[in-house]
Amino acid sequence: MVIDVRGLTKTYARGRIRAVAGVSFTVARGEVVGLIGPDGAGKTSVLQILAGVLGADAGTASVAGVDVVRDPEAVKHVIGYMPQGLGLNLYDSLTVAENVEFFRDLRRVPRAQYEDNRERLLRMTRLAPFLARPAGTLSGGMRQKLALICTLIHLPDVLLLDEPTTGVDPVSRRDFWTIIHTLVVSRGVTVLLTTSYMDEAERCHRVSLMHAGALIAAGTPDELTGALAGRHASLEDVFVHHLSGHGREPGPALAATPGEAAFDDHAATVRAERLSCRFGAFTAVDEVSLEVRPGEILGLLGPNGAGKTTLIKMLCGLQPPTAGTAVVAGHDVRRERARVRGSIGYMSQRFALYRDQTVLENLRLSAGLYGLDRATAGRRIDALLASLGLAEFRDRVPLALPLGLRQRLALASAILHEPRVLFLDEPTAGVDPLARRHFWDLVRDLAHRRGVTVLVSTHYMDEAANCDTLGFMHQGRLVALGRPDELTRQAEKAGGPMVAVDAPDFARAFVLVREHVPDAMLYGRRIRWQSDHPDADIRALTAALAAAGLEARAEIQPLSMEDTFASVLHAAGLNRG
Amino acid sequence: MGDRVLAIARKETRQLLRDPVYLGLAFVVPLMLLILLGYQLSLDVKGLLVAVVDRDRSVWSRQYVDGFVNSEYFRLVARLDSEAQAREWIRSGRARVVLDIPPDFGRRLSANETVAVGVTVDGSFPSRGQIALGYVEAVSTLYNQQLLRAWLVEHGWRGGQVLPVQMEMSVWYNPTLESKNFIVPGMLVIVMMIFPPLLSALLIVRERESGTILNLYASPATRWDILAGKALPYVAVSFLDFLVIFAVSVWLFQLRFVGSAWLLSAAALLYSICTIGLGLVISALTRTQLAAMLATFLVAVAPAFTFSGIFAPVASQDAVGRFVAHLIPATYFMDVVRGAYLKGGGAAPYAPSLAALAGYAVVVYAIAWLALRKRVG
Repeated sequence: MVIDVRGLTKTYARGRIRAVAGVSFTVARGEVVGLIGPDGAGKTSVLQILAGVLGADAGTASVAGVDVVRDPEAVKHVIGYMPQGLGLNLYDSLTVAENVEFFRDLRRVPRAQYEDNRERLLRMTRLAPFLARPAGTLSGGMRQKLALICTLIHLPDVLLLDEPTTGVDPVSRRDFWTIIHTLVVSRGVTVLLTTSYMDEAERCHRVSLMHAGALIAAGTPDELTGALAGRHASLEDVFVHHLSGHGREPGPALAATPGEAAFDDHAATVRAERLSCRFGAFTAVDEVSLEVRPGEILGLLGPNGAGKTTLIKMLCGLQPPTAGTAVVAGHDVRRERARVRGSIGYMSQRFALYRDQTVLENLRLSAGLYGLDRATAGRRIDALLASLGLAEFRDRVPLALPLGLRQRLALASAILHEPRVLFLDEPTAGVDPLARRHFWDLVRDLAHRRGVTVLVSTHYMDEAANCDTLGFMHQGRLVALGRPDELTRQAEKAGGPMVAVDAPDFARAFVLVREHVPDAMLYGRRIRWQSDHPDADIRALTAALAAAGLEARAEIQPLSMEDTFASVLHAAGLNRG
Repeated sequence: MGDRVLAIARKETRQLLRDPVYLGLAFVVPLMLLILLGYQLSLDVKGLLVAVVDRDRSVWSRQYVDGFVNSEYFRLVARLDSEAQAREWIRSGRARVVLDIPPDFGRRLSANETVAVGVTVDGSFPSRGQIALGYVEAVSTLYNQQLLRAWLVEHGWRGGQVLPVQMEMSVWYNPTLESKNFIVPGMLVIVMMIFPPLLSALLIVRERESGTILNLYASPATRWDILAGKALPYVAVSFLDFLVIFAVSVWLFQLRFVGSAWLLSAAALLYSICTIGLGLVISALTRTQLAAMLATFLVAVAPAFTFSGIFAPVASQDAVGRFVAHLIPATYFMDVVRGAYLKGGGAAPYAPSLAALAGYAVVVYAIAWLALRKRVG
């Protein structure tokens, strides 16, 4: 085993916080293993211990035969460690080329190996045209790819990647995975990565679900989802199943309403026309037009830096647009900013309540700020605390509450004045799947039962299913808008369905498939590509694979939301990462 | 080992050259501070503003006041009519000294009686007040001597010396006793203790805040590689500061420089290594850039300003002051700097100071090495 972890434990704050609680797992050579879990699950601590930059309190951990707990320095020659955050390990004032050179010199990469490796990595990431650009001026996806080049420049045998794809656009994410899987297939690199995206699991050979410092389930994605009898389970279902079995408090008891909802031909409560926002030479939002009707949930899907937050801020009257118009709840966002704010609820990306005031005090403060009288405020606060499942936490401070409960409190504070329109900016980022589900139940209830207009942003592709309408955002532009199933149908029409090939010897099969289909991608052990003529592809490739003596099974799969997004970008000619 | 040090040094240099704030703090602000303080911070007391309330208006009183008018240490700004007016002039700062000459000044002197002249001095700046009193006394003594001589002559004394002991004065090292010869070299020591450590104190903590420190932690680079790589470019910055300040002091301020420029340069290089190392210790121990900056002011700047002997000799400080003075590198560098500018002579007298700086460098980098852990949290 290249990575062997046994009973690993790490505590903070003199033992009061157990970040990692007796974790054991192994990773074999050439394996891609994902540690999946919400923020605060302990994933980063595990990776940092393995990278030799964090001490452990108990247990053993070895990487490539080195005991990293005892001798952390010895492991640093063989690993490539990429810390969390979009390219946070880059030096912004250094150019792309200078960043790569710095890592070369730091790692003492021999000249010939460096030239060769650099060439290949730049080609795969398509960053070669940007060599002279300072890293600080790159987009999030490009930064992350550059960070990967820097991590890989010394050809490490073991890769430790901490949330490498969080907030990255789908095209860059695909480039990213292509590089990883190419290295795995060609050099037998061992990869351990963390992610909070459940849908990323299928790209791993094996996954371990992590929650509150402990592993709650492990296996191949198929094993995990197959273990749940009955309906076609997703990995998120598996997570929720295990969490509910772990004595977690049940969520608020609100029945979920079906996603299919018919909207009245009411005048839209949110209407934006060619709304733009420029900061100097940078265009954050580029001529976005959209409408949201009462009772409708519009989801804005896109990577970090796509312009989601700026768009929401303009619609809330918090950021003046540089061009275009927008009317929210009957008020112009430019001229009637105070009225707009009075009729909307806004939940910002960062927790904006007071962490040292109790739940009740925070809500009373919000009620006061919106000018609710005492009696009304008291009545509504009681009702909300009960319906959001916060009643038992009313005297606790947010600091001591898990992320999911904090988000619910932020929601309560945003709807206390019963707004007609609700803006939620990445409300579920980093929240565990169970809490996320509860949160979405509440949002759907607000929209579908009470007729609130909801505009919500997210970078989780799998949350699209919760929205009535979906908008894809990329580099400030709204590149697609429509019902989720319509968008998928259109993408399938334009680029064909997804062909998936399962082969036991996936590495050899992948090399062979790539000769026929250069766009093919490796998802864990599965090879996938979008095809205009799937039947012909399947016939040709099964024959070719059989001729090479490789056992394989091919099928046609529906497009996932990420496939759809990537397909839309491809069609729009925006697939240059 | 060397190539990793160079890799880090090259990266630091590029970052420095592309950051206008860092560049400003490295080169522009130190020079501005030196020029501002060098011109403004003068301990010389000349041209004291003096106002006179002459109630006598006799030949006698005019002669007495002439003593002040003819001295370069005083500048007569007004002849006033009342004590109330005089109070107002002192209060508003238009006069620092007021002489109140009584109405019977001339009459009493001609009758060989004593007479009291009222002298009021603005004591809000004690050292200036002290000096002003001394000057007033000296001018009055001269006038008394004049009167004495006139009386003796009148009473039939012929020839000989009234005041036979005369002083043959010579002041060494700073013959004109100008305070700029004293202050500007002192400022060199202080400025070099403010900006270079301030910048180096941010070097590690800045990477810790941004997250890039993990690149270094997770790489095979040793703690020494990291420290040396970060120190090199900033020692160079500090030494450049020294060269610029030295040039400005000699050509712009026209300071006397009698010693060896080589000796001074060697000391400046050692001192730079010390101050950058001190900054790195602070950087290794702090978690935020703000804390690092505050710590630099407390640990580096304040002691240098207070104890290094920039205003008063170390020997005149109390026991605690002398103890602290011997713990900080600024004191030793101050010794070499003042000596090189004003006294000259060979390296021998400064050997102990140079040795102390070298010792300090060894200790400070050892502490930085211990303080820097390749670990998060």
